[in-house]
Amino acid sequence: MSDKQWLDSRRGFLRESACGMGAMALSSLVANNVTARDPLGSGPHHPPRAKNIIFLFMEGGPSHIDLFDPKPLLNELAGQPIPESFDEVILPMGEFRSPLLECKRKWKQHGESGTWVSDWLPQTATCVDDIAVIRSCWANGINHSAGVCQMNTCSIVGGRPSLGSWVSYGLGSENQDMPAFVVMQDTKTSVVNGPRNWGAGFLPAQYQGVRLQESKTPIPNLFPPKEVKPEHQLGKLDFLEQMNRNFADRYPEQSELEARISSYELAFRMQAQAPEAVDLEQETEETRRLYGIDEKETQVFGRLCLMARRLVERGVRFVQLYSGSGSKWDAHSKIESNHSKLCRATDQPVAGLLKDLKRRGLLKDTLVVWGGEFGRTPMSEKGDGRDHNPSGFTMWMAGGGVRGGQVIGSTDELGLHAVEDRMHVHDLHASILRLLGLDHMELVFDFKGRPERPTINEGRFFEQLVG
Amino acid sequence: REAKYRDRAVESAVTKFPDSIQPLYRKPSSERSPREHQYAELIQEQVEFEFGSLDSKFSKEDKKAILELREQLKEFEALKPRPLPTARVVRDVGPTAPATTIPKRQREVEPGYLSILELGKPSPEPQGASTGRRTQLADWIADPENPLSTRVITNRVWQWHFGRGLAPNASDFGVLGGKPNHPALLDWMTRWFVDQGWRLKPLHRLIVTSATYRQSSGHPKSEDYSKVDPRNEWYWRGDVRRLDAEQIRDSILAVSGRLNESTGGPSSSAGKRRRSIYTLVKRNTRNALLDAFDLPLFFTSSARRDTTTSPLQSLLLINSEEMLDHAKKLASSVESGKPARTIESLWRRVYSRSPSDEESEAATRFLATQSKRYATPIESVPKVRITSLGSADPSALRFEPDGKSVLQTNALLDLGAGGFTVEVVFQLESVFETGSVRTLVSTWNGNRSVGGWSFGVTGKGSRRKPKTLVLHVFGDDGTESVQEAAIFSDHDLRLGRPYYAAAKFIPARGEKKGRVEFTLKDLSDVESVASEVTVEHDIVGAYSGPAVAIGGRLRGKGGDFDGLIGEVKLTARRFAEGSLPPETDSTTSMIGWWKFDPETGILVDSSSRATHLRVDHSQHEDASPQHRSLVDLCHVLLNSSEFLYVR
Repeated sequence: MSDKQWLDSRRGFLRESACGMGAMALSSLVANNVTARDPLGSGPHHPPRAKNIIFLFMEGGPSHIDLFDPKPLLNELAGQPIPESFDEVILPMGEFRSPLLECKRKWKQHGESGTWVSDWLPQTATCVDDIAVIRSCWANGINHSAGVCQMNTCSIVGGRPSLGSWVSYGLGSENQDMPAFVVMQDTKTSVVNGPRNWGAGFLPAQYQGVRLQESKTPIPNLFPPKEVKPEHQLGKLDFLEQMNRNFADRYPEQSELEARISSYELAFRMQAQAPEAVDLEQETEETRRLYGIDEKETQVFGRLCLMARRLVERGVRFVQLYSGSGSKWDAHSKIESNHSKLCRATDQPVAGLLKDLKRRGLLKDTLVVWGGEFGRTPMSEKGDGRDHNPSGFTMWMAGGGVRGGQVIGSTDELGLHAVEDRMHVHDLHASILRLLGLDHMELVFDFKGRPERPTINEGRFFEQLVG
Repeated sequence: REAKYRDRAVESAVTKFPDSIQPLYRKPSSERSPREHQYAELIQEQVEFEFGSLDSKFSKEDKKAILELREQLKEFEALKPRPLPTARVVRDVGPTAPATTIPKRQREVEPGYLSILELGKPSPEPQGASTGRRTQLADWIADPENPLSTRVITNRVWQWHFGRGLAPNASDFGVLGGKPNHPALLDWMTRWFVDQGWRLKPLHRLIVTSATYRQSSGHPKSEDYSKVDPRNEWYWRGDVRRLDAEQIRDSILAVSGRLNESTGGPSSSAGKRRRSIYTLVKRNTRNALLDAFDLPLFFTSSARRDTTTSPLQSLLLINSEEMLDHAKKLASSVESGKPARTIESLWRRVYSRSPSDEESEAATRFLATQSKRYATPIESVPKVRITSLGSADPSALRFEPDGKSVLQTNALLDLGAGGFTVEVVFQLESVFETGSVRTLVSTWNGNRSVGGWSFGVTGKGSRRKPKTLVLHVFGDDGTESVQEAAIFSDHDLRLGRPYYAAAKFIPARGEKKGRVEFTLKDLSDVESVASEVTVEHDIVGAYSGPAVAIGGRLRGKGGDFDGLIGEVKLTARRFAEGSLPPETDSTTSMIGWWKFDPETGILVDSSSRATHLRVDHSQHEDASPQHRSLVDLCHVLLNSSEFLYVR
């Protein structure tokens, strides 16, 4: 079903309390007593450039000055304290006056665009002509909890809906048999803040992200416990439908009772779709190799990236992948070994994803976003690590209408503060929404009498991304 | 003796702030401006945080002395008045308020009332340490003549009972909020409420005893009336409404006879099965059932609940172990041996009504056909319950202190002479009232003349320290006889919190003392650092024990664990043969790694040794096909719309 049809029938549903059977499958996706203004008074607010998004979240904060933002001055001043001319910032570990730590990377310009990428990401470097590197990001949270929260919800204080929830609220699902907003992570360790990173905040619960795992039960409770055999389960479901049907027939004006019946049907269809969506056996050997699934180091994140592509193909709107879940990128000490390992684990898979999306013609409709909750300081910590740096860091975008091969903004000479074309998380989210056809000021949910908007009424679209 | 450690902790916290901010904290409180007070309080929180890990900073001698002193203090504990409950409150920092500015325009604003109500300007008068602003706001809210606050609360009580307010928006009575559809009723009720002295209980009574509230959702003239007023805006019938998240959980527990009805007191973990309003809520680790049924996030207040319907709810209700377990309990409590009677009491229990003849027949038919399907038996499964340790570990086992949950290995254990490391991911629900230990992992069967060890958490009556890690080792201390060594980590564990804990045991050798290295990390707080403690002991050997038990001692000999265990890993240290090499030459070998993963098998050892776990087979229920189909019927009822909705 196209977005337009979905919208029409959705509005129809909201108008009529007693709606016809035709809209039943839809009603399961619609809040029944939500007092929202219809967010999409006139369809998507702008022509969408991207239909889906894959957000690659490098959790813990990758070092921009060792990956995408070379700083020759840093190596000149290495070992000295930061010059007084740089504005002081609060650091979680209080090591602002610690000596500057040299960058041991070899830097090269890549592609036709000549974008700088360090030797930690040789594969990503081959894709730079499709990538817009944003070197001037900044955020407000100095610790992981606040930083990850803001990168997901725009606020350092918890409780607001995640970007993925806003997108599913604004655009709905393309595939009723799959959740619209899916999250996966590479380790068993919890992402900082746990599931509230993909929570719906004050939006209705149906917009929350669903954590997916690569297994035969990718979604929690997708199947009954092993001792329940299919014929027993079907017997139960038949009788349940009969009971619920009788009850719904008694109250025909309560459409949500019909929605409950169809929710079991949807659940049943999800049982077929979800395991298929994450079944990588269906992919060719060549594709699996492209994502690095044949190598031990890259296997885990490679599988996540390949699943992300399969999910996007199946109409999942928002896929978020966490690399290093549980702040593994957080290189307070031994940044060399920490980042070597994580870059090795993600470089091939991420490049594989971009190349695969491109050759399948999916990249034009799929926005890929890469980054962490913040970057890292030019100052050292514990001698061989770097502390958190929310005042200046790099993220990149590719696909979904973004003009590749460009570098946006800059940081100061040591990479501490974003200087030119400063892009706050608010701007980043406003831009992502805009690429998906949503206007960050038009997308509204009335909560407690307040028109709530995804970027808290802040931020702007960076035209440069597409220009 | 603690003082120097406290001073160091303060320094450590304060020096992490920039030089420009540190003086704010250091200057006397009286010299701080209102804004500086706010900063200082925030810095104080960091200081308190450092105090939290003070115990781990003591030197060995100081630690011993401090623990002894604390032990002495305990004697007088009975004299101490019970601490008052504490709550976080918001207060003014002083009689002068910091300026309030609108961020973008940088315009300073003064306190004011809603201008549309034309009430003039407030004129707060400072009192003591307060600006008086909050008092004035409170006075304004509680003014009987305030047209807004009184109507808002009356409307919310109405909304609570009817699912929708007389004014459509619970928090916006302005132009954007929409007009009330029964303004006269709202006015009258508000007046009545104020005249009754602002008491809520009479207002609730007034509403629930009204004819409007007591209407059925079915109406004989439903068809005609629906044409005139399809949305029931004129309240000609009752609405059908889904229960709220907490009501759903409470109802499930109530009908299955498991609701713990104790009232008051501090909150409890979900495992205690008290009413949901007494259940501890963690914003980062949410209860899956409550979450699915629209429980608010509790970051901000919520004026009304959403009612969403999603396939994920249905999956949870029809497939989760938890719901199946409730169905089993419900079945056991209504089973009478006679289907008709069982169905009658089941309907009464779940729907508070008798079944109609048709329903009774349909249910009887279902029981018969489902029983037939069960006539071919399937293999029994362990009674252990899989759950999740929040986000710390997605698949964990729930261990109940019933002597029946203990898992153990068959294979003969040999840990060798080099020592071992045991690692566990767990969450504790309770400790013993006595000094007894809740056992995480053990190789000991309770017999003091046989070697073995137990790793667990001390009870409230522990002579050393309650709720701390302890490794009990029964082994040879060089006297060629089995002696007990109780080695404590002196950590403070909290209930209901996921932890990673490890104990590395290195035996004594000759003159050299043995030691145990404890590691503890709070998995609910990613910013927390693992705390490491080393303690010495004298055991040299014969500590291996015959097999590994998880969640209790071998063969269920007491010390049962209560809580969740997510993962257990046991490794041994091996030395090259023939020599007494320095410790650096040791290698580790995996003895077992149990992850309780339903995918690969709950009881499977994922190490190459394949030392799988087993449960005592005598504890398997061997239910009849009749009983199993009754469980299914109960499960269906717990999934049914009629159970989840009020009419």
